[in-house]
Amino acid sequence: MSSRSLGRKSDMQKVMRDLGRAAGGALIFSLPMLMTMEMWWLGFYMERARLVVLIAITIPLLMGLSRKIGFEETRGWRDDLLDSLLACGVGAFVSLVVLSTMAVIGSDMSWNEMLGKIAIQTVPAAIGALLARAQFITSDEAREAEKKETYAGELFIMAIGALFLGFNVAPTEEMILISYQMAEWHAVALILLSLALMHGFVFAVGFAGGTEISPDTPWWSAFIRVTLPGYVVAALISLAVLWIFGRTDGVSFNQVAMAVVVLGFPCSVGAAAARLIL
Amino acid sequence: MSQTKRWNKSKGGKAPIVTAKTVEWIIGVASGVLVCSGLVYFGYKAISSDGRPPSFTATMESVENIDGDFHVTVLLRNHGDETAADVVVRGTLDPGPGGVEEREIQFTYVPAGSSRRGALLFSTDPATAARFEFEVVGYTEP
Repeated sequence: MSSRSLGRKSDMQKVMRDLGRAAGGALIFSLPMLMTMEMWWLGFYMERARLVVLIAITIPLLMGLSRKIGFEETRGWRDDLLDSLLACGVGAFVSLVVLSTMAVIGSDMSWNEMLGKIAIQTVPAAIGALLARAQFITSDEAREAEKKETYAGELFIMAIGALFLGFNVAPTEEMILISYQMAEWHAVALILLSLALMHGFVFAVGFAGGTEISPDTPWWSAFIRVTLPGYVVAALISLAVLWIFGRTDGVSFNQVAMAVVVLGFPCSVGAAAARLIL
Repeated sequence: MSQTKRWNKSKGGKAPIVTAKTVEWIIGVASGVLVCSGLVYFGYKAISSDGRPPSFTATMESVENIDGDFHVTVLLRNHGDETAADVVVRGTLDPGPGGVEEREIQFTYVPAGSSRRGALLFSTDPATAARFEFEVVGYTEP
């Protein structure tokens, strides 16, 4: 009986430690956004349908991420779902605590406003929570094993990285202001710069991991198969984030394209770096 | 057993998956086409755009009576090639007898080729006014 209660106690400790790590990760990943006023404003003025879309795509995204970084191959989708929901819960809790401590949410506000503010912060926080748990738990051995990555997996990891860094900067007004200040030549230059940076990352990771690209691979081969699709993924994520944040409403095609290129820059860096980090 | 499995895997990792998978190439080339068309689009725009300064049309979209105030929704369109910031729109309503009502709103940004909405609040219904008009007072460059 004593050994049983001991087992329970250590189980409890493990759960608490896991949750603590998740909360730490959520905090690290979402603090920049928790302290950005545009994110608070989005919490109350953002179209509710888009908030629902955001949350609806977050869950499968987290499940995919949980599958990618999960260290056990035998895990079923139920475990991934549980992990994702747990990450969301931790993310929402961290957001609630931080936002109410900073008086961003308070009792004088409507439920709609408070829930909106928490919901939008939950997405980056949940990604952080999931990553932190995995980073701490995963052994070197398991990380070695996961080096082997499918092509679709690579693109998925890139999408996560793009989403994460894109989410960091997309709510700020600067993102839109930059696109207004830029002329079309700037956009061309920014696309080329994004591609060049991405390709640098692709090469660095390709050689380090030795998974996809061997030193014998000509640069253009990797460029076409990894960098270009990666940039398209980053641009699509950029467009999606802009739409979710209502930055495309009533805006001409040209201006939307400009904004996609501007946000595509951090997104592509995020996408390329994610392959290195995850 | 798991040892062998892992060994196989690491071996698989070293093996050149580079052997150009068709799918990868299809996606890669399609992405290349997309990126190139983006570059061509911006390049074309850069050459063809004559850089016209912002020009506006302000139109009344709707009038709603809410608690005694008439909310007049203004749709402001920028036809120029450049984005305008801090665009001030003034609405003047002359009810006939009595004082003229003047209201102003400021649009933070009106991007080139895009439109923005706002509302002016009057105490008289514009439909019954003798004179009612909008004018764009000014703007700054972003």
